[in-house]
Parts: sequence; C-alpha cells; structure tokens
Amino acid sequence: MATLRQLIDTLGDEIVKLPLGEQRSHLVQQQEKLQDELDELVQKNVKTDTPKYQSAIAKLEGANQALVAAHQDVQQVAATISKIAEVIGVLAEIAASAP
Amino acid sequence: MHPRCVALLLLTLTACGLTTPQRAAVRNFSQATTALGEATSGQFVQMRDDVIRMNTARSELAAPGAHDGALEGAFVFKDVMVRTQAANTLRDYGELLQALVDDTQEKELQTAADKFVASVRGLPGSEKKLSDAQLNAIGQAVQQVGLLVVEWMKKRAIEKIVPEADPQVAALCDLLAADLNPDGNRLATGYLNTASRLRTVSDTSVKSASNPETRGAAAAAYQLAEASRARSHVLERAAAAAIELKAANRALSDAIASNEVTSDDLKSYATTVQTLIDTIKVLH
Repeated sequence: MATLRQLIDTLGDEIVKLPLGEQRSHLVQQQEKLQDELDELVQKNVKTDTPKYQSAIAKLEGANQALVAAHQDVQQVAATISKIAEVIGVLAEIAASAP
Repeated sequence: MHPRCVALLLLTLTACGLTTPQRAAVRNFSQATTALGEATSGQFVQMRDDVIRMNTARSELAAPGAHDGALEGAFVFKDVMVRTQAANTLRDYGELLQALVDDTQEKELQTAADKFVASVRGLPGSEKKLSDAQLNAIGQAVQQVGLLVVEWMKKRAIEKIVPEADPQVAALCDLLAADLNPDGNRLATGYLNTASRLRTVSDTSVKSASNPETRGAAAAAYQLAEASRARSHVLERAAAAAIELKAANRALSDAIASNEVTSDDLKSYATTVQTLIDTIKVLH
C-alpha cells in the first residue's frame, strides 16, 4: 500500500496536469490540507499502523485513482474532491487525538 | 626471566593478535562506518538548508500571509544537531576501530578513543546507551594498548569495544534509519512534503504569472522542488545503509567473539560490508 506522503505526491502529479480553474484550485486547497495533516503527523511522530490510518490511506488511494481516470472531466474531478475531503477529516481526527 | 624466554613470550603474544581476515573485516567495517557517519551528517544539514530555501521560495510566490510557521519546518535546529551528533558518533566509532587495526601511534589511538567517548557523552540522554562505567572501560582498553605487546592488546581492545558499543551503534543506526526513511513520518517525510508543496505552488505561479520576473522566480522554485523530490531515492538508500550498518556491527561482534569463525563467514561479511560501501557512495 502506498504511504500518505506518496499519495499526496501522486495527487500533485495530477494537479500539475490540470489547467488553471476552479477544480484545480479546489484540489490545490485539499492537497495543502493533506500536507498540513502530514506535517502534524510528522511533528507528533504518529504511528501509521493503526486501522483508522490505514483506512484513510486506502480511501485516498481510491480518490487518486479516480482522479487519474477522470482525465480532466469536470464532474468526475468534483466527485474526487469530495472523497479527498473525507480523508482530510479522518486524518485531522488522527492528528488531533495524538499526544 | 631469561631474555630468550621473554622474546619467545613476546613472539607468542604478538602472534595472538587478530588474524589477517579478521583485521580486513574490521578495517572494511570501520571505513564503511566512517563514510556513513560523514555522509549522513551532511545529509541532515543539507536537508535543513533545502527546507529553508524551499519555504522561502514558497513564501515569495504565495499571497501575503499565506505561509505561516517557521521556514525551517520540521528541521528544528536542536533536532538537527542531535542527528548530526549521532552521525558523528558513528564516524568516530569507525575511526577508533580503524586506529586499532592500523599501525597507529599510541597518542593517535588515544585521541581516537577520547573522541569516540566524548561523542557518546555528547548525545542526549535518550540516545545514549553506554554508561559512564562502560565508556571508562573503553578508554581503559585503549590505554592498555600502550603497553608492550601491542597486537595482543589491540585484539583485546577490539574484543571489548565492539560488543560493548553494539547497543549504542544499534540505537544510532535506528535513529538515522527512521529519520532518513522517506515514508517514516519523520524528518525525511517532512523534507519531501515541503518539496511537494513547493512544486504545486510554483507550477501554479508559472502558469498564472503575467510578468516575466515572477514567472522566472516560479520556474526556479519549480526546479528546486523537483531536485529535492528526486532525493527521495537517495534518502531511501541512506536509510537502508543505516539498517545494514547495524546488522554489520552485530555480525562483526560475532566474528570477533568467535574463535571458530571460518574464512567463508568473513567472506560473506566482507560482501555485506562492500554492499554497504557501494550504497554509501551514492550519498556523496
């Protein structure tokens, strides 16, 4: 399974292919939030072998695959954005609960 | 004692030094340890510099107030110093072993031992695995080499130091391996996350900037981000090298302790260390 860092990087690979516009801006904002969460996980040295973390990573991997398949289709990119939003929520919870 | 008896005793004790293959094994290992210590120490300092440069570039491209937090990111100065000290301790350990197998003068040998002991003492409490008594024993083992029967005493010093230092070497290798692992959610992850942030911001600026100056700055920032992202393979190999070094020190400890070590064992050990040396070469 890919790691959060790799998935954020893959998301970046897709973002740079998109033309400037609303969809891209949304994805950029989401990537920033994911990056903020990753920085917090690094700072707190959070364990990544928990089921909750693994489940969030699996969801993000699914969202990334959907984004690759979307081929810049606006509707499909929008669907991906909402999937990523869910992942951000879970990661935020994990980071917040870490000491 | 009769002078001929003394000469015979000296000859016997001198012959009781390390065997040629054992000496070669220690020499190869010490070179690899020194090289890894030096290379990783430089990695952390360079990563910190890169992170500051990347965050500065991102701040320059972002809207005012868009970037908060310290420019050094996860690379807080005192944390980087701990990693540098850990890497330097490994280097000093390698140099001490090297001095013990080479034809080193007593004074230089003592300096190498003092340097290693001081390095361990300089580690923060959580990373220090040798007690004061153990460190004193290491110093004493080397002091005794100054006595008459050098080769025999050197062998005894190596037999004392390598197993004694094993938990310390293992702890330092674990620390460096975790921090250098791109996906270990520690320093290397923070480094690559910074590069990933800069890539997206600079790509957006390259595409949206209307004036050539901003576009030029954005393009330079993009190049910096890509060069930093490309270091993930180097970091991965550096982490692997730290893990290999830990295993090699354990194997060396066994090879030194066992009087029945075969030349095949030492050959296999030499292959492991050679792989380690090849890995370290890419770090420079």
